[in-house]
Amino acid sequence: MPFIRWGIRLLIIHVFFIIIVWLASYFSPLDILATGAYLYLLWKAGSLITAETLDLAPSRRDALCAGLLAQSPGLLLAAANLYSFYDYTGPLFSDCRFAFQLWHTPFMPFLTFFSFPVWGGYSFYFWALNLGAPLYLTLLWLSANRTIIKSETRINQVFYHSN
Amino acid sequence: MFKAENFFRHYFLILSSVCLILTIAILVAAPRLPGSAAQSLAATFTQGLLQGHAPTGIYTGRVNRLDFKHLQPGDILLGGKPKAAYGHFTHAGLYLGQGWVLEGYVDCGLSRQDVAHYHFYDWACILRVKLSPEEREKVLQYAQQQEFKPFYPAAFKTGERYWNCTKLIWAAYRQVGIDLDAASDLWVSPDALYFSPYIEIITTEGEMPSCLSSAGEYVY
Repeated sequence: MPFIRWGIRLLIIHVFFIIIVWLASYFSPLDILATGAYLYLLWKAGSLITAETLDLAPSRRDALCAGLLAQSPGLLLAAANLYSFYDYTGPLFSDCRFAFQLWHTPFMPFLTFFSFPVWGGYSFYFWALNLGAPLYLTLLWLSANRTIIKSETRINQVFYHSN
Repeated sequence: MFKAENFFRHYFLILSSVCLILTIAILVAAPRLPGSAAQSLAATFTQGLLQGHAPTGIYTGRVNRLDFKHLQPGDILLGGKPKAAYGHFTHAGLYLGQGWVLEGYVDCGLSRQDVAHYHFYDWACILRVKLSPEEREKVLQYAQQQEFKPFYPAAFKTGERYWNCTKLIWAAYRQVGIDLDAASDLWVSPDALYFSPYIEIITTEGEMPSCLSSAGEYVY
């Protein structure tokens, strides 16, 4: 089950990058560089996860499952957040909102360049943070997809030349 | 040549090293650190968490009777509640006038809020910095330019991209050459504003601290 091993690995890497991007924000714009490095590593991870399972059956599933595992805290916090928009029941949800934002620290540098209007009592940047985990999964999926397409092209070329 | 495979094999060591290097770089680059390490916000926060105090500062809803009639644009409002991890006061806002306060919240970013919500803290106070009308205008103008920017709870004092409620006030007053951070820390806490030598306490409601936090302990 490579996705479990990769999921835990990506989870730990995400926690590290929360700290790294936060620390790097002291030396702005080093935080943008840290986020760029993180996105590059995610892209590479998607490719490596898929490459590991390529011989068995080319699938994007492992990369997606690893991403889901790695982003499970973010997804749970986003769910708690979205629920609290409808039924705010006090300080626990407030703590969840802080945790939710801290979890998305690796994506914050991009948001800090803009001003966001408040809509429905919440800033648009806060709504946008809910897209953090889905975008993370999309990046892994695209990387896995590219790896599969590249391998299929290579197989086709070998098959074409051998005939 | 960088190989991603090698990174993922040794990621723990590499990323721990990066964290350590950045921490050391910050300590070296910081112009001044608190006179006493125990007074730093990091020490207060850690100690507070270990004591089981709340990491956030949302008000409890108990009503205080803070008198808003003394408020003038440019005044600072502080609110607090018992057992908050990062100090006696947990929130700060800059009064803009006409019942509006500019402040930072995790879900609203830097935005205008009704001053009335300062009645819902267990304790609250109004602080004033002596300024000329031109200086006051400059402070307010700078603060309002930051409206609608995102909020980040652990924002360092450096830079103008990451904001929290106290950094907004500290940075606005820096425009007129006033450093309100009594602790000279890497972050600004609401308590540091309260103990700044530049401020005059206009009115208070509820318990007030008599000295800056020493790792979570207050003298009343």
